[in-house]
Amino acid sequence: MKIRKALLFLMSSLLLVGCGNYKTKTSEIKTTVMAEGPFFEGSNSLIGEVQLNYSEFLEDKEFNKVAEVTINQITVELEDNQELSLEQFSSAAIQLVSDNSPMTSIAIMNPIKINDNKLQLTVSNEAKVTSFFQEEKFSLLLDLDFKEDSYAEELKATIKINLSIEYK
Amino acid sequence: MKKLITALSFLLIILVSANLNAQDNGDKLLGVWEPSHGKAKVKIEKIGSKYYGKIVWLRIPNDPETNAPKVDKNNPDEKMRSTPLRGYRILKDFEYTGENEWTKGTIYDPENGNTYSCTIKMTDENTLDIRGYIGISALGRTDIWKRLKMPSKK
Repeated sequence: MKIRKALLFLMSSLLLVGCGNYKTKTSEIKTTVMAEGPFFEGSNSLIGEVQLNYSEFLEDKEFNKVAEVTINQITVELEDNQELSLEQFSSAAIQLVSDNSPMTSIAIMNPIKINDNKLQLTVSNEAKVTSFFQEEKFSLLLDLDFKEDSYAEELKATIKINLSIEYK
Repeated sequence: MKKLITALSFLLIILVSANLNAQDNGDKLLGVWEPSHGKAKVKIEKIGSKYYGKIVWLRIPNDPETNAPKVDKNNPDEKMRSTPLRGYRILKDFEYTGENEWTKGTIYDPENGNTYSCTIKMTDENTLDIRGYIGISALGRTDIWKRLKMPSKK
């Protein structure tokens, strides 16, 4: 009986210690994605790389590893002095891409609704994104559906992702 | 010592040339392809080291019920159902594994919202065997895709 109680106590303690190590922080990553023109009517892809130094990003020198990531909000805006404007697109979709995780669609806006020169996309409830944030780097892919051809030399946009990171 | 350096250099040359060869071969998948049903055309492109195929043309681009451009209405993720089908990546994450085969990828069927494991075999430069399956490759179905050829200039 004493052994059973001792084991129960030990297991509870381990569970508490294990759970107690995790911290959660809400933060924002900002990435520039770009593509070179010309662009043709239909879907055109802009790409950019995300590389996070978690100790700096989370402002926590004791950072060990990412346990879980949830995306809360995603906004897209064109960088200044672009030849194109958001009115020229009919939809926008964002995917995460890496060498080690399957491509994952994380957000969509169709049709485009511009608010304060930005797009706030609908974020997927079911996308599993944690594995991307456990890699050294991954890419963001923004698919913009062009209403018509454009001979702009290039297009640059900024993607801001507000996310909650559980880590220890 | 000289023999060791010569052997290592030889090994390095073999590895580099094998890698270059694999990249060259893998890229022959790039282009626009037409599935046997003829309802769509799919452009295969390379992102990073993997291959992806997106719908670039639909024989019936609009949904007859809404008369609006077709969207991914069968997506299991309700929030993503407004994604346009034209531009949708139905082939994802293929890696070239040599001998005209691309594996480890998936194919999505927008007509039922299901995603299947998939392998691609190039039987000649203009023909692909696309095999979708659940679990093991033996339990699947193969479709033949043809490369879309540009009309020759007169």
